[in-house]
Amino acid sequence: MTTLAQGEVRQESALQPPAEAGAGWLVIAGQELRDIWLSVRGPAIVFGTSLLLSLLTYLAASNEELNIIDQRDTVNLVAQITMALAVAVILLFTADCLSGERERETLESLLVTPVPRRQIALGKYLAAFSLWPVLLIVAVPYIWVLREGEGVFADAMLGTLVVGTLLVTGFASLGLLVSVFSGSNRLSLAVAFFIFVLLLAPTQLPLGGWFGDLIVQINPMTAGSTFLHRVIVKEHGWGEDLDLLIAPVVWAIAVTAVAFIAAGRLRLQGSFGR
Amino acid sequence: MIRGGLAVVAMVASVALVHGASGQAVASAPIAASELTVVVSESKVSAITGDSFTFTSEIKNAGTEATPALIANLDFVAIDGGTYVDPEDWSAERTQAVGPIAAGATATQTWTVKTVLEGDVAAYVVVLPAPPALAAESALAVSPAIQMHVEEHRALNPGGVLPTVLAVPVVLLVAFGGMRVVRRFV
Repeated sequence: MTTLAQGEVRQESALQPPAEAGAGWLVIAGQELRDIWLSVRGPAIVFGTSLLLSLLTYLAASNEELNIIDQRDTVNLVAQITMALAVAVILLFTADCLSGERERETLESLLVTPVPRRQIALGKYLAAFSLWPVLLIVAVPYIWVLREGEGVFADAMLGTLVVGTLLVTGFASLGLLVSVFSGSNRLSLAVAFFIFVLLLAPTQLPLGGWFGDLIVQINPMTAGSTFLHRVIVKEHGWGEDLDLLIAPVVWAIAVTAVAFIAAGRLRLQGSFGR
Repeated sequence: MIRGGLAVVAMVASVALVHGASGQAVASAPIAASELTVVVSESKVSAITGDSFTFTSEIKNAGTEATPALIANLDFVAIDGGTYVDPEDWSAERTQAVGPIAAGATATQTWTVKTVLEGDVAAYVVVLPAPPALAAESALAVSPAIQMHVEEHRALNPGGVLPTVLAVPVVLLVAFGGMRVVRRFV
């Protein structure tokens, strides 16, 4: 067994070539998927999400104050909550994926396997990402039962799929990036969640003027949320507000690229928070 | 020197504006309130919260000349003293543009009202001339009020969502529970 000094980066090619070059991430992803879906974690999150969406849907349909809300607004609310919940949960999963292993002292055994570091990160990333399509499928019956009017269901599902996938991609990568460098799991979760809240908060603020417009355009959360609102509630065509997808696309590509570049420098000890 | 020149230009411009404004006012004199009558198709409505109903208003020009372009506006007021009324919640479209009405002719508008809160609320349509005919002394024509008595609607299955909100968590619970049981025995 190869033992590594603290903080030493293993040179994969120098020590031994990967046994199944290119397939290591599949092994890691398979193991992580089993860990998420065959344990209580994944099912509990999906069940909890369904309870939350059930409560929200029932309130939206019955509460006299919410009766005032237009049906399209209600569909938009369910879509946005599903998306925000998925982003938060997957962010926490990826923020835990490496710093958690480090804290539980299981990262070393993972690093000595003949799997390149980026593939370790990719396997864990994909396993965490698997929550997104499942949560989206859970939201389908709620959006279906609340829909009213032509095209609402298709607009809501397609809009949530596109915007949600972009945001989940970016935030999952953010969690991974923080996890690569964090020495402790607590720090990793706190930093990742703080950034999430920081970017989520403007969606709840009345943004106006040039500065508000700027925030809406450059913050991926506000841009994605505004895009969904315009497509579902305002019945805008997809081409009308494509500029609002620039921030989520840039966010997804840039953070993912940085996260996987950083994953290549994954060390046994974190860079900060030890 | 430059400042003096600007002052002269501003004076000339303001004189021109005053003449223009007075010319417009003369061209479209205020219509008399008595020349327009507004009637509505409902007088009393009983409903439950969440209901919607439509009614029509009819504006008749009893004068001898055509009216200018008009604006019809639907408004709401609580008559029980306690109900909070936000008009935009009660009707999504509360303002309609009405073209000039010839002497003796009528124009009809259709309105949709959603009774969102319990209580006693009155709705009425008010008609006023559209700009530029609108002037300080323009008379308004108002319809009789529609008295709405709204009672609270309590339903166990609002909007038919109950089966879905119960079934989805139950199905997931059974599916995940079943998976665990199968794994234990396989």
